[in-house]
Amino acid sequence: MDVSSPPVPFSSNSTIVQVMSKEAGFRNHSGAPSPGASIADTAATRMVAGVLAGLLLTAVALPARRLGPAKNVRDSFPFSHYPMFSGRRASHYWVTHLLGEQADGSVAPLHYSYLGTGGLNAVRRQVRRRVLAGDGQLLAERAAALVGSRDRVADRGVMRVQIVRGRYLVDPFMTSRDRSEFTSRLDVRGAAEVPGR
Amino acid sequence: MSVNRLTGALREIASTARRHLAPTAGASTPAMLRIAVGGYHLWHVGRRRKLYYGVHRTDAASFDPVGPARILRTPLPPVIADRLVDASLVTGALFTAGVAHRVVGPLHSALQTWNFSYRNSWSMVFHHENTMVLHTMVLGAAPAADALSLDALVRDRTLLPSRRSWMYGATPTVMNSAVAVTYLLAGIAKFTGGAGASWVDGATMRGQIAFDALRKEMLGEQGSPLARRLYPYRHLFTAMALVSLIVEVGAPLAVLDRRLGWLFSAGAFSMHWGIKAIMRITFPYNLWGVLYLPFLLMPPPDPRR
Repeated sequence: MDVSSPPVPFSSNSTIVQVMSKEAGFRNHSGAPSPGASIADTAATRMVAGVLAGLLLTAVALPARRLGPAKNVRDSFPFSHYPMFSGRRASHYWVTHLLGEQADGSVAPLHYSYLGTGGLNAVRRQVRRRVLAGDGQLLAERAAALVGSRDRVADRGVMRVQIVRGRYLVDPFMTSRDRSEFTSRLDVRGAAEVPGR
Repeated sequence: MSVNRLTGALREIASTARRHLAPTAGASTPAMLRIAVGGYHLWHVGRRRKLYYGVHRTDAASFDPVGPARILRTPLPPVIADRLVDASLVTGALFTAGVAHRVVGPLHSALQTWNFSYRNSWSMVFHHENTMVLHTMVLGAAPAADALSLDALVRDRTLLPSRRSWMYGATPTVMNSAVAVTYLLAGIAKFTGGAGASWVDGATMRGQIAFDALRKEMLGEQGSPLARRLYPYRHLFTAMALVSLIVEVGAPLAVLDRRLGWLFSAGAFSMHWGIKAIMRITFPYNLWGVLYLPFLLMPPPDPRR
């Protein structure tokens, strides 16, 4: 391909293509004609570029069809409707998570990595689904085994692991550290002793 | 109005649009974007490789395919999915170095789109990867390796050939347009998500921040102390909601004028750092500024002729 050749004249009737044709001759700093891009600058190239750009932008915009207050609309990738931060929130929130019980009976949340791999939100979604499907006891036993085998310093006092669905009050949570003030319900869905403790 | 005057007016509009949206630029403009976006891909995927391997071995019950991955009914064998991730590191390296771009560009874009779609099929959709994929699609199809590349060294015997073309100026425009539409959708979503126009009072945003802090803490992660500290100040959330709406709904204007593009970039960049500080939610592509590079490198409009 001769990349230094001047732009090929057009036969297209499109106004913008005609304008681009007229304005497409370039010169470099010394005044000599400057070679163009490695892709030949033809009417067909411009048509393809325009069509591809149009298709891409249409694909990016089309998920707008999914916008609305309806919940449980599955998001997609890479063309999303970006629902983050848009949904109205209630005054309480259900979370499925682990609690570690110490010898003195006190409890505190355990890290989600005892429940699975893939990051917090991925694990949160998987665990909620599995607990609702009745796998709570199994998850608690696996987590207890991992607490024992990983032997993290912070979790060495944990004797027993529970998997719970907790209903928490949002405002009291943000203004208080006392669990009893913001916990409105706690359903235990599985429990297991940490092996060897 | 006569036909001639109408044609003249259309020509004028088309000429103005071309001068602003596809201005003549040097080959280094898309080349720098290729290196930044390709380099980011290598860093992003390289450091998460083991995480992806773990995801590929997750219980198949969690597989809920999105995007192109919807062609699958069941997950791929983990080893195949692992090798596809590895392959995208190879194509990413070739893409960044500008080797055989006409083949590697589209191939890398396809692999990247597939891998992120597949990864997002196991969880919620992570929105920080969408714009990287869109950028790669544009750069993969554009003549983005005409400078600062092995292709340029072979073809022109220099890394910085004196090539100039409207294609080099149109490349950041298309990248910016795609990004602007994503921000616009995010802005519209806030009005249509149930709160309506009252979203602007900041209560929904404040609730989201509280929800996020709560679930992080219950799942054993440290929430941001800033979230609790700011929570009592309702007016602050009204101001933040207003600013984020202006940035998102105003995003399309950033494509039309490069100075507005710089302003949008500064606003959106600050917004994402604010989200990180308050919610510890990281959009690395945005926080590193790679998302906004095409706005910053947008060439000036061509002069009138």
